[in-house]
Amino acid sequence: MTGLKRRLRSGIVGGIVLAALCMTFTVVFAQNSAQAPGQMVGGFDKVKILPPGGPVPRTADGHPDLTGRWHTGSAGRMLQFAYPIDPAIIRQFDPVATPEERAVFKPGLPAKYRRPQSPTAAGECDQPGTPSTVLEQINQHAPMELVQLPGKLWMMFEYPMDIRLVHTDGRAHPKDPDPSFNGDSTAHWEGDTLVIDVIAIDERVRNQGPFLSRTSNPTLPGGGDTPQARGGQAGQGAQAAQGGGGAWWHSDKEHVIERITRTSKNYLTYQVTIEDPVVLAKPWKSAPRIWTLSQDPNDEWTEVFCTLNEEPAEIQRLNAATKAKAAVK
Amino acid sequence: MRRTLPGVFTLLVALLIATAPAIAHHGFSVEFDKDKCMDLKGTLSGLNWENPHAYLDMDVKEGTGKAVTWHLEMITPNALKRNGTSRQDFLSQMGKAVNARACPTKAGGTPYRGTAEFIKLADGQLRVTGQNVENLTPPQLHF
Repeated sequence: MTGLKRRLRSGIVGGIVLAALCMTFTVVFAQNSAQAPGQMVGGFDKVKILPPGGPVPRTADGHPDLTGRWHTGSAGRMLQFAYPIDPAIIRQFDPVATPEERAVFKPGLPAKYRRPQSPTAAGECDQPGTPSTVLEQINQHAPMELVQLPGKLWMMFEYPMDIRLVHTDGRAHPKDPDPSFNGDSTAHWEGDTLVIDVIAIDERVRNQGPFLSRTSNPTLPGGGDTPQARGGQAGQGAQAAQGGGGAWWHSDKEHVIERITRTSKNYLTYQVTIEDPVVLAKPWKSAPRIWTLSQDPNDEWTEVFCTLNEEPAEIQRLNAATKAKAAVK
Repeated sequence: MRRTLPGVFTLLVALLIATAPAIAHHGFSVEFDKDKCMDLKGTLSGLNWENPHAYLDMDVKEGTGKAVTWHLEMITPNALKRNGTSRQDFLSQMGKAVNARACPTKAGGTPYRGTAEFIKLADGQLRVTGQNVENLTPPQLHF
């Protein structure tokens, strides 16, 4: 019996050692597979449309909790579009299922509101203000982090490092608010949707972002989706694929209404309506745009402090040379 | 890579989207020439890990034997990090071989300045570091 026990013990110990070795080799193999030479890093082949992920988390007062780091599109991660990815994953809405109307400008709109040329073709890290900071993220595709606290919602954007305070305590707008790039935001709940009312947005920020005007008025100088129309900035490919982009200046009468709905644990939609009786013939309404919750536990808020390290003098010089060459032709 | 929607149309749309820059602060064509992109092979000699663009330096020996240093613009550090390339990846490969698909500045620009679209550090892994203005797919990279 003693010999049998010894053999059994030896067998068990041997089995454990063998299992451990197998696990070790499996781990080593998996690590090597993930880092095999010649492979493209980034896990792009694993990118997929996220499932709903579960019910909507709620705060103690029963309202949906919007807190989280959110990425544009359906993948729940920041993507580098230079790698071919299924457009259905990247896009923020399906233009067939939820088409987005074009902005309609007032007839005889003064030139000062027309398609704004960027003041310079040099690098830009300007604050686009409300609602452009949200809308342009499909170009910039940096995350939006929401922190919901009693009476307030903090909206934080990694690029361009921007923070918005949204009051949710039922207060009205100040009687005579100072203009600011993000405006004065006060919100209330309509069912499970947070409705944010924004006024006093500084006239020096423009409405910009993909889809925004989509060659909304071809009679406008510079209308259309061209890099030149946007001062040579951002996202030409995405705009072409998804319907175009555009920009316009707004008046001090602009009124923005944003609707944020967390539809499941992983999904959030953002819809915005822009009213401007001076510039727009009718309110412009965006499609509900999809954001998804960051899935990587190592995905943390990252400082994106713009140092303007892009050799702006050279950019200006080359841009001027290009324009001069075009003028000669 | 397994595509969920195979087909020419999907590929075309994907390629269109592939041209969308990551946090581009100026148009590529304002400064760089997408028709003169080239494969560079050299030694990794420097890194600027800052916003809005990270930069790498690589020492390259030209066909004439002349030693030059290319200064190549990449996308933002937060985009690099979230897509598999960290500052440490560069630092650990400093002084070692590096391959880059690079697009130079337009005529009249600073010589030996450009963008790094894709790179391969000495660890042998391909990395997306630019806007892919040439619409290349990974199998089309020749390093």
